[in-house]
Amino acid sequence: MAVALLIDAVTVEFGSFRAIDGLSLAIDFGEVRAVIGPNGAGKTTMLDVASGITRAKQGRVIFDDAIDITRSSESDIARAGVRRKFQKPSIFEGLDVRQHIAIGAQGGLRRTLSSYALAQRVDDVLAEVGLADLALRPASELAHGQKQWLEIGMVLASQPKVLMLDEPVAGLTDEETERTVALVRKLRRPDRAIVVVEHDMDFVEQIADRVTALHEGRTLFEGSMQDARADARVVEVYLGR
Amino acid sequence: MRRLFLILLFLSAAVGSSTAAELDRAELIDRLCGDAAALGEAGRSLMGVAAEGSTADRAWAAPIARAMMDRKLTCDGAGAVAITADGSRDALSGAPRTAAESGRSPLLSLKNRSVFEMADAALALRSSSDLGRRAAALRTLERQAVTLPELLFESAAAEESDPVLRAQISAVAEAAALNSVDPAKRIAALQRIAATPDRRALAKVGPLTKDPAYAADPAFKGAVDATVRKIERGIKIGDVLATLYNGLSFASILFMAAIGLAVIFGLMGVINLAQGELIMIGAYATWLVQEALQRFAPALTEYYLIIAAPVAFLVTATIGIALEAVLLRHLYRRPLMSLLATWAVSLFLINIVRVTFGTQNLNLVTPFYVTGGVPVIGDFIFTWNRMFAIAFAAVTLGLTWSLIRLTPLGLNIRAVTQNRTMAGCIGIPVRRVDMLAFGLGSGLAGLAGLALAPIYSVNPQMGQNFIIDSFMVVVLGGVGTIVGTVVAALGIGQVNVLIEPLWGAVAAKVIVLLMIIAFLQWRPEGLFAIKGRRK
Repeated sequence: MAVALLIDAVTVEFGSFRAIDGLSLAIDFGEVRAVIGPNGAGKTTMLDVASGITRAKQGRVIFDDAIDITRSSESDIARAGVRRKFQKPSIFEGLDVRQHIAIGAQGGLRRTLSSYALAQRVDDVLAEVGLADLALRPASELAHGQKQWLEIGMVLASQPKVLMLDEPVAGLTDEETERTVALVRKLRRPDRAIVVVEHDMDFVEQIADRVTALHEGRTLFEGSMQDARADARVVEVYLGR
Repeated sequence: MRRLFLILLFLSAAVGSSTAAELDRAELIDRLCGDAAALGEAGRSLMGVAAEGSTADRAWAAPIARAMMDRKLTCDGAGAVAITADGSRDALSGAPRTAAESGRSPLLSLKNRSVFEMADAALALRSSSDLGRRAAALRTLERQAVTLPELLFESAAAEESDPVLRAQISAVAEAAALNSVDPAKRIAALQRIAATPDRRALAKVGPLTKDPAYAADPAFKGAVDATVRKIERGIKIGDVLATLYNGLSFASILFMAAIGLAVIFGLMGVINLAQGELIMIGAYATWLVQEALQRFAPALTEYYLIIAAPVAFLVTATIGIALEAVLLRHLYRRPLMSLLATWAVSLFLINIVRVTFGTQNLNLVTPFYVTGGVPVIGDFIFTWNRMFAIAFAAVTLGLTWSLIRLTPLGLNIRAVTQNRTMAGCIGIPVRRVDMLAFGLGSGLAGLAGLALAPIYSVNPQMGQNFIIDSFMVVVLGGVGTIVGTVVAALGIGQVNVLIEPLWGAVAAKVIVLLMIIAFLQWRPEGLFAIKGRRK
């Protein structure tokens, strides 16, 4: 099976603090990978490296078995097909819901889609994330959960090969979490890898094929969620008894 | 020759017979050669000719009146001989002949002299082909305008080809009617004056309250009072409109200077102190276009303001893009450094322009479409140069707004403004958008330079006058909002224009600044702040 995203011995330092320490991780196409771990374990930093926001001091990031994106800019990485949703809902306050999806589908200055294809894509994505009724509302008026879905929709609109979701259910109600579970399951495709960083273990259990637990910038555990719950070190540093 | 002249005479007599008063030329000549009373009579008929005589009669009478004044008319047994510009001619027939030895020149008494002076001037006003002579004649007539027939001025004004002189004739006629002895005429004149209520009209009507007739004649008093009230109301309306109009035009200048900065400061968070110099370079680009047109296409020179618009925009946009790519790109995370760097750029640009073009003010042609104006009411004149500034600002606002709101570039700019990281992560080339936005902001400064070129003096330092005003507008409006920039420019413009007549321009500036400082204490984010912009 092809490796969608390979993080190869990456080290990131902020001053003298080592946020990621020789971390290696391979995420395959078709899988949903959950990354868990205590605060400060390096989960978000790992996503930042993969999306080009933070530069790795050492190591490489390879996308789709061939493309080295370690030094590429954010927008180049995004256009290659690696997209992420941020921890805090990051939306553009001045734009409406439809414009968000449209700019997600076709950012930048070059037109790659005909206006018909674009409208079609936007409609599909709006239906998929369940925001079709709110299409013309300013994004700043949305509720927290809706903002989370909007951001997923934005990321989704470009039909990415690697989808990285940073805490997609943080602050959501149980019902909203249920909907997000259904959404993530629907997004799973053989030609797409999904990386989810999340603290909600029930959510992780429902969506993840495999779980990677990080601790102090290193991989602590990799396997299924059931095994993670059983693993003594994971329980020790993160899950608690 | 003589026959031709006679035919002409007959023809003109035939034409002349259609007018009301037929002139008996021979009788007039007799009177000119008669005693003092007859002379006075002759002077008055000459005046009558000037007022209502036929064209031919006026052309005949004018040199005779002139000759009388110059004592170049000689009476002899066969009639009279006048020495005119054409030589010595018989006064009646115009045939060349010299006066008999025994002839005498009639001497005008002091009283008659003034009658003839007026008649001469009136005839000159009606029939001279020389504009200077007609103007001089009007000045002479003005002294005794009250005693002259109204018809004279009416027909003179109707036939006058020069608009300035025509207006002067009407003004003299109006003043004459106002001081006429006939109360009905005065009241009619008052009503005519009330139709154009401005300060000049008030100056004309005001003194009438001291006129003896004002106390004596209640109808006249009523008419004067009504006219004064009407004029004062007109002046008040005119003043309000003029203040609004001036405020609006000042606001459009402020807006033009600030809109580029609003884009640059709002999007990039760069405090661009070279913005004023970009305005200056826009003005210089405009001047260069004018010079080029003068050399290569003189017919189009008048339209240089329109032709220069794309040039001014592109030149400054290019400079802005170069500035961003070479210098500011590396300083985004160090705002103080970028402030100092842009200051250095501003000094550099000032001096390079100084070295290239010199320090003197540039001479820009004022095209016909920004000269003059239309008087509306009171002293309010709808001037075209202010209108040009307002229209230019409105068009710029429309284009900028459409660009930001309706185009993909605008969508990208807004996305980058509000959330840089996210924008990058959905594939927007943040760097390129930065560069284009900087180019847009600089280009808008260039357009401001173009709009200011015909109004302000164009020299290397001109930009420095605008940088403070621009920041004032942008900060008050709220960083990065076009609406805020518009409202702040309108507010500052109007307040400035309202205060200026009371305490002067400098005090107005100080007061406006204090008001802005106070306002920002209360609302530091400005009038319209957008949430979530780059910190």
